[in-house]
Amino acid sequence: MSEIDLTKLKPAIEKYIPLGRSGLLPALHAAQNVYGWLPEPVAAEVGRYLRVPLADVHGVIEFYSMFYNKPVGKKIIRVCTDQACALRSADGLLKHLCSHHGIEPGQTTEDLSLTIEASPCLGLCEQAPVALVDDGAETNISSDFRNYELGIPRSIVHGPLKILTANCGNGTTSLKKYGEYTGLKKAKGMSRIEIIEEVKASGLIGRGGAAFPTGIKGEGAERAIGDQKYVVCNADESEPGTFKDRVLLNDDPHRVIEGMCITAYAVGATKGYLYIRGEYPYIVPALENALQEAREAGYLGKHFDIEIRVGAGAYICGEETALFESIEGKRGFPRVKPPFPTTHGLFGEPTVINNVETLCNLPLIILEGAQGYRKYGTEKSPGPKLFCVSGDVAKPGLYEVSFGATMRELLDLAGGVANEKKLKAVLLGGAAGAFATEAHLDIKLTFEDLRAAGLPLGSGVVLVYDETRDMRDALQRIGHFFAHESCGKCYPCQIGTQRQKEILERVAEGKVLEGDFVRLQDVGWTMTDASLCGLGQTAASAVLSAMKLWPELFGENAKVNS
Amino acid sequence: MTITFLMDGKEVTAQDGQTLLDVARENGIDIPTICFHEATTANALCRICVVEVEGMRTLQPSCIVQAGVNMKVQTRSEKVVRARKTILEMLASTMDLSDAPDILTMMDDYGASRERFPGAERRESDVKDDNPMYIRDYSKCLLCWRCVQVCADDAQYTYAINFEGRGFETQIGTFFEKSIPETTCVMCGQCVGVCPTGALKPKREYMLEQGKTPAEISVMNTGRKQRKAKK
Repeated sequence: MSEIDLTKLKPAIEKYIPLGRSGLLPALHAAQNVYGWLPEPVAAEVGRYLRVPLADVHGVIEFYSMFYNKPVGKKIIRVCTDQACALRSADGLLKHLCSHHGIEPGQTTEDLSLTIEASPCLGLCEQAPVALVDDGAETNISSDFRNYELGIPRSIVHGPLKILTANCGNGTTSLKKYGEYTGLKKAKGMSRIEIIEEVKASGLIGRGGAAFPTGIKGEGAERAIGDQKYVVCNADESEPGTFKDRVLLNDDPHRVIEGMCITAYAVGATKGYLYIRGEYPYIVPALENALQEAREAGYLGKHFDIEIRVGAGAYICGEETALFESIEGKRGFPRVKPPFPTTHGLFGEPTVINNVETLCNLPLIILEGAQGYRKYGTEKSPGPKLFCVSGDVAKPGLYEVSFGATMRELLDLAGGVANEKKLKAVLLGGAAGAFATEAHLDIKLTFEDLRAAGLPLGSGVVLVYDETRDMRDALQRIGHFFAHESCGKCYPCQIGTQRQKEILERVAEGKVLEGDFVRLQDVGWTMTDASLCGLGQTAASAVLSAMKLWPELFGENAKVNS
Repeated sequence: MTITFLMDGKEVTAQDGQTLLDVARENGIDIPTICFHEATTANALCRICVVEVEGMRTLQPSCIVQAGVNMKVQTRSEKVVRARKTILEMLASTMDLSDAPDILTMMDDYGASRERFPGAERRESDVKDDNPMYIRDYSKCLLCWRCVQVCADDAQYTYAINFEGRGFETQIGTFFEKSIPETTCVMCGQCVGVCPTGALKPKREYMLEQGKTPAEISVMNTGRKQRKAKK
């Protein structure tokens, strides 16, 4: 190991020192930028400057996939091997790339020039197969990896509606083009209660996956007593198959920021955080720039300001309380609820945390009023909705429709199953979602219709598998994903995701053991019923749905009822 | 304020703020616990104490959920038993429970099989014997978090240990895997005191188990006996 020059550290992390523990993730990112990885003396210095116990610093580095406490290559290529990319031969691509450089996945070349890793979903599913090369997105990679697009990914936006996506598809929209924050302006002429009542009347339901009514959250935080209230934008989009927030953030950052400003005004928050996943580094400059534009225009800075926080590779941090822990500079362990974020959120203070797409609806609701907003969608699922369509469809992309479109209509918009093949299955809602088949195509994609059919809407994932696909491969990847992403706090998920993965590997290899069907069910139900947070509670959702649809895949005769 | 509610069909009373686990114990209803300890903050992470509460979608950890008016609680429903049994079987498939008689008894109680998960990866680890006070055998660790808690804000404010890895790969560890004497550990022994599975064990006890006699151990330590012998 060459000598480590610690004098370079302080200038890099200086601005995070006053933040104390909460500055730990940004400081580790900054330190890693300087040294390429986080050697022991560097980690120790970071701990001393920020006054964080060294064992805790190490615990944090160990938790996040994108922090390294062993040397890695100057260049890091992360090849996505999740659902949509797997359908475009991502495994072959990874193998080919590795053998070309004489290493195995997860390894670094001897000269420390390159590390190649397999990655969970990178949120670029409509342009599969993809990789993250340092801070750039490499998309539509050809099988010989000679042809690809590199940099800030394109946005592919379709659908009959152009409301949330009005400014999407042509690069980042500047404030000049976005225009005044007219929604915020109107909101400021209303009382806090009036805004909350309007949002409640609009029937807006959170778009992140948990489907909680947005107005109720705002009401709770508005009423809560606290010295400091926070608004947090959850941009840790990591659900396999989901890429809507990536498009919204990159192409129309001011819509999100305006949504955060309206929320802050309505609940009386003075500080906001936008927590974006570490796999979207190429969006951060556009976001920083948009925040600066908003400050110069006077929307931010005086009564309310927003700080960007960048994650470091942990799906669990999309869980709201794990996200708070991460901002606080800790391992992303979800907290027990209650108490809920509206009263005890970030730093223990009243907090509203909303998904990117949810926040993008707020300017519209204020401008159009609840009744105007309800022109779109159904009675119980009002508004426009974004769907992330990928996999075996003719035209993968982001589709904006009114709630109420059926799965068939959506697939027709996307040109149907690619290459004139028949449909095998649709993964709805991502890895934490469930599989649907031809029989479900006429179900409306609304919260109420899907719930009645026992299917989740999740984060709006519609991932298509054609008739030639082996669903055991998709399942094995889901198993791997959750075992990789479980935080390890509660026993059902910590061990259950591992056991689920092992059984699904046997299923994929056709080496099912006697009793595996019931074993897998017991693990699945135990995770669903007894896990501490939403990750564990949904880690078996897609698997259990597949067991009902295709029991024969699990070595079970079709006649056995499940 | 006194609250009345139903536990296993029987009317029970509780004080406002009392946990379901506490109420159950007062009423002679057995709810098993693993991570729970009177001296540490309850994190509700082992989930072995879960119960079924009418109207709740998921099972609820009785160690932290407070009694509520008109609550209907089932402490041993089919769902509860399935979860407890499966959790125990998964634990047995993962770690060495030979020093955890309470959990082995629990397994008998729930008819949990130690061989439920054939071919399962276990969390094996070498014994870490790096200080004169205690040994660390993480093959026996079930991640109850108590040692980390008492080392930190629950008791000692020493912060010598934390976590390594994530998910199934989680293990208790020190800064860059330093030996205990190189950390902030003050050898207070509180972590050893709260360990439920013998993963943390006094060095002397460990050496006796290894077949050393008390005399040998005493000779190895330059203790009082040696000083006296020199006189």
